[in-house]
Amino acid sequence: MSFACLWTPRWPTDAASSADLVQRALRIAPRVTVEPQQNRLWADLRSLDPLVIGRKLLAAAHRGGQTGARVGTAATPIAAEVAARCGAGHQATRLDLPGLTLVASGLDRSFLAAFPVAALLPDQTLASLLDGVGIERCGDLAALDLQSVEVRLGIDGIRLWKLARADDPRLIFGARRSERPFAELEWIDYELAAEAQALFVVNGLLNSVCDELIRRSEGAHLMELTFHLADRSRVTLPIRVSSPTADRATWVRVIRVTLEPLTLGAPITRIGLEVKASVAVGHRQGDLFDAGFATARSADAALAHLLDQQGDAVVTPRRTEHPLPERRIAWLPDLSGQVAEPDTGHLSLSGTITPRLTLQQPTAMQRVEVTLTTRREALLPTGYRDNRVYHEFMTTVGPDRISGGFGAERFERDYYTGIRGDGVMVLLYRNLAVDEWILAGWWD
Amino acid sequence: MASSAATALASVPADRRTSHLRAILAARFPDALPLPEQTRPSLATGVAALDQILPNGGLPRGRVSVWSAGSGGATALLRASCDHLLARGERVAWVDGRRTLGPAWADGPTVIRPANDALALKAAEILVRSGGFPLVVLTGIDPQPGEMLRLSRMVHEGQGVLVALSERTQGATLKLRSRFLPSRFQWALDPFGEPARLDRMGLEIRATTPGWSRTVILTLEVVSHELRLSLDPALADRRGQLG
Repeated sequence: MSFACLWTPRWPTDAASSADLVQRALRIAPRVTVEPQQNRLWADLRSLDPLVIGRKLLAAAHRGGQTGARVGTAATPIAAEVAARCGAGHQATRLDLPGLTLVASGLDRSFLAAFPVAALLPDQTLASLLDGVGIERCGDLAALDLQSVEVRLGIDGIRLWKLARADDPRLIFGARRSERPFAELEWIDYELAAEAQALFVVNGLLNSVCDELIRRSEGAHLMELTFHLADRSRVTLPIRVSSPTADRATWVRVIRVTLEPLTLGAPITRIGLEVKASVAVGHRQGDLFDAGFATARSADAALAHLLDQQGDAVVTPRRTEHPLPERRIAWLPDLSGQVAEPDTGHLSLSGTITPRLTLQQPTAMQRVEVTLTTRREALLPTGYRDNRVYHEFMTTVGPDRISGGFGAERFERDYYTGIRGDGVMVLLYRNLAVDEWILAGWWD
Repeated sequence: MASSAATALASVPADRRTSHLRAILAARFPDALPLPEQTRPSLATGVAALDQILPNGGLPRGRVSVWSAGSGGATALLRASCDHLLARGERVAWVDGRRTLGPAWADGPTVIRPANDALALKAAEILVRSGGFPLVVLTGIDPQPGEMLRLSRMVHEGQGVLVALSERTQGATLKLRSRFLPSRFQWALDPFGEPARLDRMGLEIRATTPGWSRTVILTLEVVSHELRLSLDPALADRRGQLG
């Protein structure tokens, strides 16, 4: 941080002159704050030249009739303030103009050391105490250790001790306001009672935010949706997408999913939508080995379109190690709207992909009639009838018995693998609990 | 000249005469390519044996290909093609209209499971039209002629490949049919010398398009279904492994 403090012995009392001074200062520095009670004005010097700004501020004050004004610049507010109020007091400073004191970076403490303690404006009691123990200059006070000051001078003494050491915790300028795209709508004539109606408002806000993102060639991956309610409470919802985008349709879909389960405790009076995290998407680096990079956006857009039309049609597998084959995989909706980047670690780039036949499963449990024979005192199917078509087995392997579970989940099954006449391998099982035969799947 | 060619052809076995004739024609008229080879860019499946029998070494881009639904091995070969394209960074979609993908399905293609046939067709249309998916596989749907025409237009627009596992082949540019060859199955035997587990299956594939017909026989590995007893994947199953 770096500060410029403009101090004048007599702050203009009429509003017009005061406003005029502030406007002149704002033309010089982008961030300005005024403390008229203390006869001073602060300017934020971050990334600015202290000498240039200091001279301009001083000239502006003189033009405004403040002939006795002085300006101090320093890395800490207290050093800038003392420099403005008391002028130079040390060789470390360099004077460019009468009334302008520049404190070099890193020399704030040594700059203050030469000044009497009164320059830090201690209250009367503390000033008497300091006078009583013979501490006259800021340098003397700063040289003490914290415990000594605390014991003898109390908390006010510590504050003054810190100032003498150029340790000034004052927050002259607050956090800089976010410059990310933001849209807000507030209404006072009525209240929005239904959450569903809020989506229409959000949609409108999203238009503004996405247009701004597109204008900046940015894509957001985190937005914050804030509902201000009639009972003065506030509900904030973070909304994320898996990859940065400025596509309105994608954001509408994700916001809709977020709002669906939402129940607000009071009517809505204001809705705000702010981008919290964004990146430039126009200059994304392509991967030399990613042949689909050029069409990735088309793929994402197609998937977003598909999700808009068919909701949970895009699915992702979740696997378990359950003994029952029909419970080893579950298909869960994937609402991310992004085409998953493939995990190609197990795949070969050399072109030697090995096709492998895997078990396919019918959608629903499919009862079949079987013809049986006996082998080593065990039943063995020799064929099965499915939709009035009989398939004879050339070879049958089994049984493999599995059992487990408790109560209603209890299962006891004998599994058989059979090779049909057309060469298709199927998986059958006999449910021992009710003695029925089920087609569990086939290899394809 | 003609008589000498006819004499040479007569000496060739009957089952090789067509290919021999093709070779003679290619030698005599080197600029005259057969129709399927003049078509358009193709998409290699990555399965060398399959690419050998496809015109231009791959599935035709911007066209609908149909793999007869009753054929065996289609899922395995198309899944291998998907893996090949994924390895290159391409995006691939699998519209599981018949909803039969089993427990051995590994992550890879974007899977779409629409609620009904109409939505499955609509999903396939959106995906192939976008141009973002070089390969879209559609299963479990038998498109009507009008629907097939519409799909063809969409594929043409996106310049990708749509492979439909369907019984209805009308309107398809490339038709594929496959069948298992039980005589080429390879078994692991149990201690009694009887078949215990099928390790590999022989498969014959025929690719046909106007002016083109090729057949290949290949062997596919079989992923056995593991009948586990324990719910805990960390626990070893008490069944022994076949030697």
